[in-house]
Amino acid sequence: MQPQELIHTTRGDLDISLLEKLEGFDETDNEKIWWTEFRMIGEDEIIRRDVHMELKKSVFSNGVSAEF
Amino acid sequence: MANTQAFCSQAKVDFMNGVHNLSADALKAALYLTTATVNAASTVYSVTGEASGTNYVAGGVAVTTATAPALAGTTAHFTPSASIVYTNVTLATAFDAVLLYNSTPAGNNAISVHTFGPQTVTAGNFTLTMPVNDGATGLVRIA
Repeated sequence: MQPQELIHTTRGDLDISLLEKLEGFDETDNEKIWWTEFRMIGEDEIIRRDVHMELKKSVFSNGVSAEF
Repeated sequence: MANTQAFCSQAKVDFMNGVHNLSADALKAALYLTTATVNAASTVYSVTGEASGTNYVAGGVAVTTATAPALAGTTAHFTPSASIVYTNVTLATAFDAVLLYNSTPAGNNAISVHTFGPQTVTAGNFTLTMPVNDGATGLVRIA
């Protein structure tokens, strides 16, 4: 018997062989985003979606030099 | 309404008053819906407009702060020492901001707001990887 790779989804833990996997990457000035979606083969509903994001811009407070 | 990336104005006063110790205090990160309004005027953590869903606990998650704030030239910088991860969550309503706040003071004082493209998560993980911790790219910087 082939070992199963189980993926946690909204329908419980399912064998990955039953699922269609889509992956994507987007990059903007502010972030990089990697996403992964799983659907049951032949269905439209997304039953698992992970997002991994890398923030590229920080928050910055400019100081003011002491004035006399 | 919309969320805006910002160094919270109240945080500037709070740093002057010694409210924040980013080396020792318990920092947290809460997610906000695209319809929320978190920005420079945010003073404390608020549940108003916060994301909600399976396995997401109001108030967000703890932020790892193993690396103390440091000075690079004339710029002080701080970055959480690990990715911020919301594990096995379902957040079906789009969110686009994270509020970094200090949960050690009773008021849950706000520090900064970081925005990104609207996202949803389904029975999965939302991971925020931190930028390089230096004077040019650290997550929170004061010149």
